[in-house]
Amino acid sequence: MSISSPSVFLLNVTGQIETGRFMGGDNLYFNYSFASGQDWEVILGLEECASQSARRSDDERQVFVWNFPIDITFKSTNPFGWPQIVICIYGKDFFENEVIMGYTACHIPITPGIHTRRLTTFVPESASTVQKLMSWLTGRRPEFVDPKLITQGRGREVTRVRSQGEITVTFNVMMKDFAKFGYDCGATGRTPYLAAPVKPPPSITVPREGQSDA
Amino acid sequence: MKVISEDIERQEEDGSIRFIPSSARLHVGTQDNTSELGVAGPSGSERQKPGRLRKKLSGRPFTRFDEPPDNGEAVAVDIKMRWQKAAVQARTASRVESQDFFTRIWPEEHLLPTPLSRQKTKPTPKHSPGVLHGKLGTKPTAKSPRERSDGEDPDDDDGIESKESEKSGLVASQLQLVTRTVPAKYLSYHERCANDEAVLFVPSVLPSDLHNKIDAGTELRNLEEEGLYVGEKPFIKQTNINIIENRLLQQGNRNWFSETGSLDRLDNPISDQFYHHLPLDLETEEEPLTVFVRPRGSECLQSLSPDDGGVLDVELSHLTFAHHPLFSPEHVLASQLTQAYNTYVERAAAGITKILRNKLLVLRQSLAKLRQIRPDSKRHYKTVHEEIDSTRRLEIYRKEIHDCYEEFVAEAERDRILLANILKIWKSIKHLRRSNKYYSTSLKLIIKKEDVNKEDEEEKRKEELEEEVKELLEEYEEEYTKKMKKYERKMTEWKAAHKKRKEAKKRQQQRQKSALSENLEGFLLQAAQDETILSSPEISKPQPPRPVDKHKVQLEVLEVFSRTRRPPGEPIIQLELSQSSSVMENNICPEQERRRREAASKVRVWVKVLINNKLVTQTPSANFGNDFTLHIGQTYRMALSSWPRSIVLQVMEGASLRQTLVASTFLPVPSKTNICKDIFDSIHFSGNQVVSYKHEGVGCGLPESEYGHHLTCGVVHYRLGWALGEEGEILAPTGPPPSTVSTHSPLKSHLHPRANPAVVKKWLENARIDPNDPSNAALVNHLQKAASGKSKPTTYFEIDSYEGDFCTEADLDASVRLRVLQLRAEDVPEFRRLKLVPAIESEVLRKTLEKYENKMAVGTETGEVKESKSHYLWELDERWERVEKLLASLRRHMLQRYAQASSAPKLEDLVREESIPDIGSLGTSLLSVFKARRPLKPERKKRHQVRGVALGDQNVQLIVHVARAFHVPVRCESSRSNAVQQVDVIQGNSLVRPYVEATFQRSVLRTSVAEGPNPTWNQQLSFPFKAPNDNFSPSSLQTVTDNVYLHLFDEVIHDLLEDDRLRDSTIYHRIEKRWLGSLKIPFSTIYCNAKIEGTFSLEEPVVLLGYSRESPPSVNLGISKPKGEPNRSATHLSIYITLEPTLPPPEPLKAQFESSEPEEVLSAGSDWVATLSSRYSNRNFRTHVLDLSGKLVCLNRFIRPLKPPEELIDENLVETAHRVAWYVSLIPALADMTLFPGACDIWANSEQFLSMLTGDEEEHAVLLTNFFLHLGKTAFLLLGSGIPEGETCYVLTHEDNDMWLVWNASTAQCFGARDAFSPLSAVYMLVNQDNIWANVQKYDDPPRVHFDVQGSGWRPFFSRSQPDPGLPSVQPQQLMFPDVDTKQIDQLKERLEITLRDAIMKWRSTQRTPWNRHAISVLRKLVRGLEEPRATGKVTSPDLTQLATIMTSHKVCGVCVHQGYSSIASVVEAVHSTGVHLTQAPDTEFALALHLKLYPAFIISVWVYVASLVKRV
Repeated sequence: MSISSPSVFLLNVTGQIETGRFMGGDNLYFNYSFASGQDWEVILGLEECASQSARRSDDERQVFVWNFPIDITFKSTNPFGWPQIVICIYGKDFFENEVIMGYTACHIPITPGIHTRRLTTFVPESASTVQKLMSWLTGRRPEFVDPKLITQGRGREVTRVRSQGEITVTFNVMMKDFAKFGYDCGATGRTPYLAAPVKPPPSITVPREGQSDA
Repeated sequence: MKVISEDIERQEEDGSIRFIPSSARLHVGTQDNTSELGVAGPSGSERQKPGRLRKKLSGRPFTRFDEPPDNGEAVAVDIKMRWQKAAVQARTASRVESQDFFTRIWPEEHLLPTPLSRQKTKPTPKHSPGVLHGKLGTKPTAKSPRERSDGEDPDDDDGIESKESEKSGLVASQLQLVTRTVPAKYLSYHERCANDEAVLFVPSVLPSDLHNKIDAGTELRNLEEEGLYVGEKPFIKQTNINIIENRLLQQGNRNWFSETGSLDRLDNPISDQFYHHLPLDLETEEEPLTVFVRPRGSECLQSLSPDDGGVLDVELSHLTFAHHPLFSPEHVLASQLTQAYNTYVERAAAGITKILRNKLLVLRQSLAKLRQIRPDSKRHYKTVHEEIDSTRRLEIYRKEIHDCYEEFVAEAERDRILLANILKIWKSIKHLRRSNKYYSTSLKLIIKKEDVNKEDEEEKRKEELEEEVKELLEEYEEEYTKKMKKYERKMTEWKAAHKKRKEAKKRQQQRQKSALSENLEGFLLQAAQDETILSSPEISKPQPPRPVDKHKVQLEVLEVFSRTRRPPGEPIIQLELSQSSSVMENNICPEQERRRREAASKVRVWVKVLINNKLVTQTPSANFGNDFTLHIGQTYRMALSSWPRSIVLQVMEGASLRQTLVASTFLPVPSKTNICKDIFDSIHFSGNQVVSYKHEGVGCGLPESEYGHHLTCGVVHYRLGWALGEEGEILAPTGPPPSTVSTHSPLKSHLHPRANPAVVKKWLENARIDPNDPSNAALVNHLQKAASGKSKPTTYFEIDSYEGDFCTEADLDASVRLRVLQLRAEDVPEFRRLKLVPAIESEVLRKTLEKYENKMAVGTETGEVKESKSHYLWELDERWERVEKLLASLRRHMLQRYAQASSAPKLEDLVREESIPDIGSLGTSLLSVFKARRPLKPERKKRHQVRGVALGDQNVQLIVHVARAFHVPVRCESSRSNAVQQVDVIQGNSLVRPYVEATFQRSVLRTSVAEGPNPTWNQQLSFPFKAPNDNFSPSSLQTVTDNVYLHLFDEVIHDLLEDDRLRDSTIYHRIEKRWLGSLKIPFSTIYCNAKIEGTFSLEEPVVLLGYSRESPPSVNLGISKPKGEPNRSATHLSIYITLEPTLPPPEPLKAQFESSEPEEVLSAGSDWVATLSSRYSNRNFRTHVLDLSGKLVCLNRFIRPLKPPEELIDENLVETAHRVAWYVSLIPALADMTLFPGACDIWANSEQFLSMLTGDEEEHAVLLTNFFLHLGKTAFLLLGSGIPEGETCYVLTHEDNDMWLVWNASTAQCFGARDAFSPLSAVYMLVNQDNIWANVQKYDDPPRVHFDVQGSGWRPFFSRSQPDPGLPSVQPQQLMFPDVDTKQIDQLKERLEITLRDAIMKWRSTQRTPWNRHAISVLRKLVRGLEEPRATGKVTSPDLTQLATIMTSHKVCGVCVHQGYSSIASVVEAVHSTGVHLTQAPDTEFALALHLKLYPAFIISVWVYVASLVKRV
């Protein structure tokens, strides 16, 4: 296919999974994978990867730093099923058992540019207190059957999760040929994190409903 | 020291513990060594006698501190100073001094003041004065003069006392001023309780008395019953409410209670206003962690931003009651008259009728003009365009005239009706006045008549009439011509078709008469064409349209005229309403009327204005006059801080002290630019009270009274708008106006302006929405509008609220890409796995879609079984294709249903977690310690089920354990010498060397070779299981149609070694395998039952050449073999098949299926099943099954005696039974589960079964039962469990000799009920056309079951308490068995033979495959004779004499295969499985013979005889 009339559009994602903050646990490592729809295909880069294990920093920040690079290129014909990154963090617990420390997933930013995402992670809860105790003793905590489940909504209502720590990811997104298929990728600039503070308006006095004296 | 303790004691009794400074104590101790005894003595004794203590304490000794200070005021000035001094003194006291304090012997005279000052200073900073008092107050008691007087040692302290009193007199007086000493007071518990009761109030948690809560005299109301809206109040615990209520009642505050006697609470305490405190100076703070970002306002959200207020002017002009309870009947009529008159005036002012009439006139004129030009020749038109244009214009004019005319007629009719109505009311008023003899209203209608010339009018009318008739006629005429044209066109079509038919019929007749013509091919073609012509439905003859009837049209127009026009000669009427007539004086009126007037004069009415539910202002109350109109005429100006959410007018009414709310009405909130208009707006209000009077007042809301059935209602005339500022600007609030409908209304989103009111109404009925809830007002309003027919379907453009569609449906269908994407989303199997659907339309593969769409099209075509019947079997294979498509469409349909009903994933599917060990498993695991390591009778462990997703990429294996076989036929080696000779018993290994070869999913595994006719292998074969698309979910697993084939082969070893000398060092063998039998187990059975274990009889070749069986084992020795029972000497194989890991079975379809049966039968059925299942958990009961249309049908409705085909009926009943069973078994079987999703069981009726020519065991069994019933047998459909099918259906018959026979309908085998080798393992239910019986016996294995359904061992479904509703059977009255052309069978046979030969040659691609003609001809003869004995159930050993000649010259090894024909491929497959072609002997010749026996309804029995022949040397 000549370049002038492409049949697919390309999405290039680079970036890194930078740091994480977790209560408890030590020597954390994670693996990430990408989940995408049927119309997406990885043409270059690692779709699944495991990181080195990292120790908590000794300073007051108490963070885990991985600085683990992401570099992947997708091709696609349909934005439906936009790729998501799924990160599962593992670590050792009190008894030196390898346990799950957190799951998280997020869509790859849909605009080109540099994006920083702070992803909070969660783990499934034990079904009962007895099981919780058991899992703590045996070191076999409940895990998702398939980590990619967290990219879908179906069936999630039956699970209970507890949030646990967060992880910071930076994405650099580049896109090619999106416009040729009629997709507008939006502003290319960096979207500000916080809006500028607004000047406080004069105080409001509105009669409250319900205080009827009629 | 006792003093101290006593001190403490006393203080404790006072109720508070006080700190006692140690120095003070010591001081007391040292100072009053002697006196302490005086105090301690009595106190010690007192403590033992509390009664006395109490007495003493209450009458405390008087101390000087207790004396009220006389000079307190005088000294009080100095207090501060003295305290300071004392403090300074205390500070300056040196350390030595303080130590000396304890050791030194004090010169008493000098030292006394110092300790006192210390006493004072030390505690003060630490303790509150009150605390100190008790201390200081009690201590000196020892020195009180009174005490000393009765003390023991008066002289000892006398000197000190006198001096002390001098000095301490001063100090004491100071102390008295600083602190007041109150004697410790003892209160008894009861006293204290009494005190508490007087002061404290403990609210009760019990509900308060209802009568306390409402004012005496007012009646308790129940608002909900009265039909008022009662919102849901936030939940508060009842006890808390009770406490609050009791507390409020205690305060005597009844305002908090509503008329219902409950707390007046708000519905929702949450304000929809938004408040947020903003940090005022953001800059001074450090960088804030969170920044408050104001929510962005949008049109749809209520604005949260504040706005500058506006000034609103509300001008209330007057208020008129359209109905009031105090109306007299005359008033009611007068009010009606006024309303009608107002409409009359309005209409007259608008003059709609006149305008329309003029319009009509103009239109007619222009039409006439256009016509004038038109009839002339075409030369007037300069161009063709012009002509077209004029034609179009003509059309438009006509249409417009038609519309205008209709509108005119409607308006004119309304005018007439209105006029008639006014006159009627006026008449009744007059009538009333006359009968009453007094006037209550001043209303007077003046009717002005204007006489007209009758003749003129008549003439005019005639003209008009004619004109209109003409017009109408023209219109009808045109329509007629149009219809006529259409008719003609149709007629010609019909004629042509009719002609064709006739010709075809003729030809057919000719053909029938004459014999076969020469040109066969042409003849056939012709016949085919004719048949299609004849079979196509006849077009009905079109009916000519009716010509226009002039007379009828005239009548029609006349009728319209009489309705709408003034009849000629009737005077033109002008109406005028005035208040000119006078109301009668009170004293003239009768008592009733006078009382009404008095009551009316007392009533005062005023209007309250509420903004945002807050009372803003109210008009002065005033009396309405006789005309029930309140003149207000006031403007209220109000400043608002924000947009008003609601402006409410409340009409209040009051007589003397009482005041009631008559009605409230909402004024529309003015838009931003609204200022006060010139004209008054009017708004209706309507109350909901029910009032009735004893006097003349009509009351209101009384449905049965003539005048009083209306509710109080009326009109307020008002003006509303924003005031103008000084510079003429509008003083509206600056913010955006709030949306009119409250945003939190849950219904708003549902209510689409174009929503079909009928649908909305239906929904509303189901939703049971409170129509009084204000949040539902919009919806109710919409419905009311719809009900009154006001909301017509709009013709104007309206933006659909469902924007957001990227494209229309049409676009979706047109675009190939979008179609493909859509189908993929719907999980259509063909598209499910599609990846990277191209973004460009042209690149999408159309082929798949086209293929799919073709399939769908065919599927819908054959959707009706009956339709396909008319083209009964043009071509056999074509027919099969059709059936397959039909099945596919059925399957799709069921899949959809299944998808809808499929349950959500469970936690186990998503989260992997250790399960908790329960007591049972813990116990067994503990017990396992004591278990034998190698038990003598090992048991299989139960395994966990692995759920769908959890499998991941695990390897699933199908495990086949082959244990042993019985009665394997043995080679007749003797046939070498003489085929006919009796077989000698030859023992040993050489007889047969059987082994089992298993085939599953194209992989083949075999056991080792065992020896002898009863071999034992005990070998495990495991196959990798491949799920379709690697999807291990139940829905995909059940589509697996693979079978496990187990073939029993005999391994024959031919020694090829010719030189015996080499035997020591060389082996040269040729191994040949010969098929002895096979077993087919569908994967679906394994999957459903999780495991299959048992001994199965092998399906064997009918004739096994070269093998014979040992004499059958004497299983039933002693019992004489019953007649008709076949010889059970088949080879049996013991196997165990399972899946590792266990896959979850499909879940039963839980969806509620509809049924056309009465509800009570359905529920009785489920109850019946539930009670039985609870008792017999391992038996499967049911009363209803699904039929092909997905409806639940009671089982007994499937049973109905049906006549089997004529050919099968014989005089011999036993033979006929076998024939029929044979016939039924020839219909190919296909498991339901592979056909339909989920564990649902679908039963087709026999007609559908015969037309589909495929079905499960139950369809076979139902058909056979029906046939048997027709043959006069006592037959039941037996539901039970069999080997290897699992849950299955058999047929049970009762024979003459009191024998029960069990028939397997799909194999045509029959067994005695007590047969040990019967494949039936359990009996659950029996069904016949009348009833359903459940097996409630202890045992369910057939030999131990009593089959007498009248006995106690069977519980019927239909009984006296639950009678049979007598629903008709789902079966047809009669089955049609169409005859088939035998020619086709011959063709099929030929094709089969060629295909098979080709196939065998292809399989033996490395060798030559010669065909032995002689053998073939012999086999053909042989194979023909096989059908009959099998069909009649007689087992006779085949006549092998014909083979003798071949047998002598050749070693023959042959196999005969039989099956009901389903497709050529299945026959080929069966032949392949025999493995005859595998022989490797050199110079092998082959023989193949086929026999097809055709039965009615295209059921074909196929016999294939394949043999390999090796020439004997």
